Amino acid sequence: MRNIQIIILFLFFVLSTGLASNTNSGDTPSTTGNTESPDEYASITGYVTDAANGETLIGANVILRGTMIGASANTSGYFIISRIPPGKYTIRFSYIGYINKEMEITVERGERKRLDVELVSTEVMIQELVIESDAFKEELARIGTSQLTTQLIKQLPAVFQADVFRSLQLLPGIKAASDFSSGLYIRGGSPDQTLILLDRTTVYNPSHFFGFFSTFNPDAIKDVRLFKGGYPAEYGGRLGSVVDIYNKDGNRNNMQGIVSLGMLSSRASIEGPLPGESGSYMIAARRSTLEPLLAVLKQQIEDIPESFYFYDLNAKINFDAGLNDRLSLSVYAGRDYLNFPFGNDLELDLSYGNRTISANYTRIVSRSMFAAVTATGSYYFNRPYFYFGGTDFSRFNRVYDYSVKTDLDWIPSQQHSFRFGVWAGNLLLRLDDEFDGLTTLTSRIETAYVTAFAQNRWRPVNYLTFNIGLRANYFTKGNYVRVEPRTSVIYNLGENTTLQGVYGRYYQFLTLITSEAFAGFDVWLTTDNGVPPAWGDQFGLGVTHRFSPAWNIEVEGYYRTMRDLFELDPLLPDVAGLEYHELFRFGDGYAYGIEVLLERTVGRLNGFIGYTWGNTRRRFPGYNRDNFYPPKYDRIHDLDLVVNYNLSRRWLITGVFNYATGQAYTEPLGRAAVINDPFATGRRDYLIVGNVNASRLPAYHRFDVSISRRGRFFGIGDSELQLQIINLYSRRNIWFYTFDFEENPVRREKIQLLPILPSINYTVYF
Amino acid sequence: MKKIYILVTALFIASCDIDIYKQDGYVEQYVVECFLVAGEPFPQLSLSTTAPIFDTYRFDERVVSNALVHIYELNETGSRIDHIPYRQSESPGIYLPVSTEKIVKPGTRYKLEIEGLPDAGVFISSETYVPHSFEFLDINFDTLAYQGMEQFEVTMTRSFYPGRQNVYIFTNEALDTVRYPLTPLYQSELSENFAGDSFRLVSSPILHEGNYRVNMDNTITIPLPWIMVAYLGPNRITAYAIDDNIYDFYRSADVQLGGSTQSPGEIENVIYNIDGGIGIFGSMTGVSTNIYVKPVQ
Repeated sequence: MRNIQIIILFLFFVLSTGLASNTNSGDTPSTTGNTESPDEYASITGYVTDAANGETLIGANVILRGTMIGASANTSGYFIISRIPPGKYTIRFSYIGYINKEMEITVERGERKRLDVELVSTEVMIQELVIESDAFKEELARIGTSQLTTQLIKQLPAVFQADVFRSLQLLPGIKAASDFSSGLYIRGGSPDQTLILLDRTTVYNPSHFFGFFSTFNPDAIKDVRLFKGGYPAEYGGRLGSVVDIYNKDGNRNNMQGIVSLGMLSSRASIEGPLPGESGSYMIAARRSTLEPLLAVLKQQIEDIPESFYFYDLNAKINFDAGLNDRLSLSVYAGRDYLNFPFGNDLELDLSYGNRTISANYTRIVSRSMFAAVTATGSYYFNRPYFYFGGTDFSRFNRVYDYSVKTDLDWIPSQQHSFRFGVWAGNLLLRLDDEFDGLTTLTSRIETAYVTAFAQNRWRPVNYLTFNIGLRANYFTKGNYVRVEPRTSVIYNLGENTTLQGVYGRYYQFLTLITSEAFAGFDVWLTTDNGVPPAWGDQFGLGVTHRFSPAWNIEVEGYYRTMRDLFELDPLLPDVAGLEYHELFRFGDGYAYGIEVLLERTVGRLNGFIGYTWGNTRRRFPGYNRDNFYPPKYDRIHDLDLVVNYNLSRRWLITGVFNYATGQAYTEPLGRAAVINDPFATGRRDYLIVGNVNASRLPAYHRFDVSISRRGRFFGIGDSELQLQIINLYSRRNIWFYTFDFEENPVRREKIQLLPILPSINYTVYF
Repeated sequence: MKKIYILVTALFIASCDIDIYKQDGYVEQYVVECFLVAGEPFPQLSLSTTAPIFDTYRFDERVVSNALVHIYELNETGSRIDHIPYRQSESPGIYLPVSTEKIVKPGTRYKLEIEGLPDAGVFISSETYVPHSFEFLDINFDTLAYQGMEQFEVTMTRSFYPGRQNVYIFTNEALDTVRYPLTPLYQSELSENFAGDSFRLVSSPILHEGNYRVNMDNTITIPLPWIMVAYLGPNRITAYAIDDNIYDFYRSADVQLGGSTQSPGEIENVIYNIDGGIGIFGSMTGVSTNIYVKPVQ
């Protein structure tokens, strides 16, 4: 049945392609079918960039006013509009946070017009939060899709420093595990179900301080695109969602920089045009600055880490090899280090981090074709070492992922826009454990992977758009071939209302061994014989409506399944000597919910309210009496309110309020004990429980506020002073309970989340 | 458009009261505890009940008396070939074998049956397979300085358990906690949180045989980590090959209090392998040797 469905969808895809030659453009006045020669028409192509710094604007919109002819810029900032009837037009360029630009143009028969356009940023004049609706935002018009600006990320109150993932956690459908975790729990999925890409390269552990912060420096980031679900065929490898992050290219016009001092970390970045060449560079560095604090604490408290820091470095070089060819090289390196001796006989030493590199070549092949080739490398490592009174344990865990991918955009007509791609790579996972000088585990898992996709945006009439795609995967570890159909339908109900539906099938060949409380020891594992890939279907329905130029509402419902989930069996005391498939437990799950986003995008008072009602469940044989149960991060209700108020051009106040149903936990019902334990001195107590995670912690709520003032720094450049207070009313939210059996009766103790936390940042832009 | 808003509003209101997954309540259960050790007489068995989580727990307030306890030896087909009857001791809730002459045999399957419980109709049963016997062959030193250049290593033959690799728990028992002090690690870092002779008996986590190198003569050599030595002076090292019931009970009980990949606060019941009650009816085969730990020079 599954194969039949796939074949039907594929036929539909192919047929829709073929239909292009016989389909009239419906209400579109500008095209009259395909029987005429292509030279009857003109085309317009070009890059859309920021006028101030030359950064390409991913997803910028281009439309010929009064028609339904248009396009959106791809991830290289390039747009293609094909098959334009000769004539005079007003062409409009628009992008989030930028002033629209309109130009009068005339195109002749067969003309290939190149229009590289620069847009001027609105800066703080209008604090727009999301892109306004537009008929040609194929990507961003998809339900379950969001885009965050770095400007918003920086102005939101954040624990000690601006953070990309903690900003994403404010969007509907995305939840945080706790105040201590920047992990993304999207639409009922665990963090390993989200593909994290930095300049098209997979990042395997996007965290600093063991999960407290995400690894991405806001100064280095240009664009953050989030696909919460139902993502298109060009992405793959994860069951749930995609976070696609792009580094800045660097200022093509002038050299500029940022220096920012904060309580936890400080940042510096510089960017500018390549000397004597057409291109740009960007370097951004960040390092924690905890040493003075640790030194003071060490005078007063015994157990303070000897060393505790993180750093990261982002760099990118762009080079224009010609009008049609561009090259870029992007690198990232980050590391966390902790050395924590406890007296003379205990010590923890941990180092972990990521390195990524991507080399990208783009070429404008023809007036309707754009190609990109990317070579990527990703390396993740962690190296914990424990010493307990003469006994030591050490681990060296590495992930190496090298790949080459090519993408081809082909836009032959206004009805059809194609994207094709191939991605091939090699993944090597290595894990070595030593205990007390003895090698206890040596694991080497190597697999090649090849994926190919094709997707077609088909617009038979101007109010209806189909996005049809197919993705095929081959994973050599276990010899698995899997095919994933993806489709979505967009139906415009007039100018201000859009209905959308989406369906997709998704496979995941990796699983993550991690701890919600501590992300420094993460280990990735793959499928193999007896360990099939996890898979699931996603369904979504959504409506967006614009009440006025300032007010938008989005309502989305989703349902997703998760089958053949494989994760390390939590009850395994030791993995030595086991067959690979014996390491895992296999289960299934589902999630469903409704998300509402009401936003005001312009004006001195702007912001959004996001609300999610959702449920997610898991089931593993032999666990919870084989019944479904909610994972800890399941929250039925989740409300986020983000408000910006521009007091003046200098002063900005931002407030963020979050309310969520308490997380699930297991309430112990009874107790018993082993009275004569042959393996320990004294009694061994244990808990009797009923349904797993059937109780709820008290509701979570918190209010954060940020006040920032813009000014000048001794005439050198602009400056910004930012005062933030996290958890303004110091609500002591509960993370989890522990049970102390040393007391009789048992004493339940609360482990609490963050109290009130003030912080201050000072940033200079030069 | 208005219909869509009405539908969304209706769904929102309806969602507020949906919670189909409810917390269940406490139900009292019978608790069994019995550890068979190969080569030793049949051990005592304790029978009690669980307590509500926030009640004070004392075993002697939870005992179950006057039950009928039997252990049967089974053959390969599951038929009973021997009967070890139990009687209630003078201590309530503690049952002893009627005869102390019978010895637990390695490589043998036993079945526990308990009837005559206060709740009529409740019948408790469980089975265990005793791991095959093995022996210590050698120890590299019988005396070493604590955390010196050398480390204790024992060489032993291999046990056998049907259907899986051997699984061990190692214990180290301090034989004189009065005259000899705690080792520096336990003295300085850990003893603050514990009282009395909490560290007289220290055990390893559950360890698979796959951790160790198999020698040419099919024996295995196991180093004793210093972390297992809590007291200086005379110590007794014991290696226990454990059955499935002990394996399941201890690996699941260890996870209850954290340290696994599960989210904090997510707790599942211990795996008991007992019908009609909870607890443990397990078996093991052990071998021991003595060592002497000198203080650091």
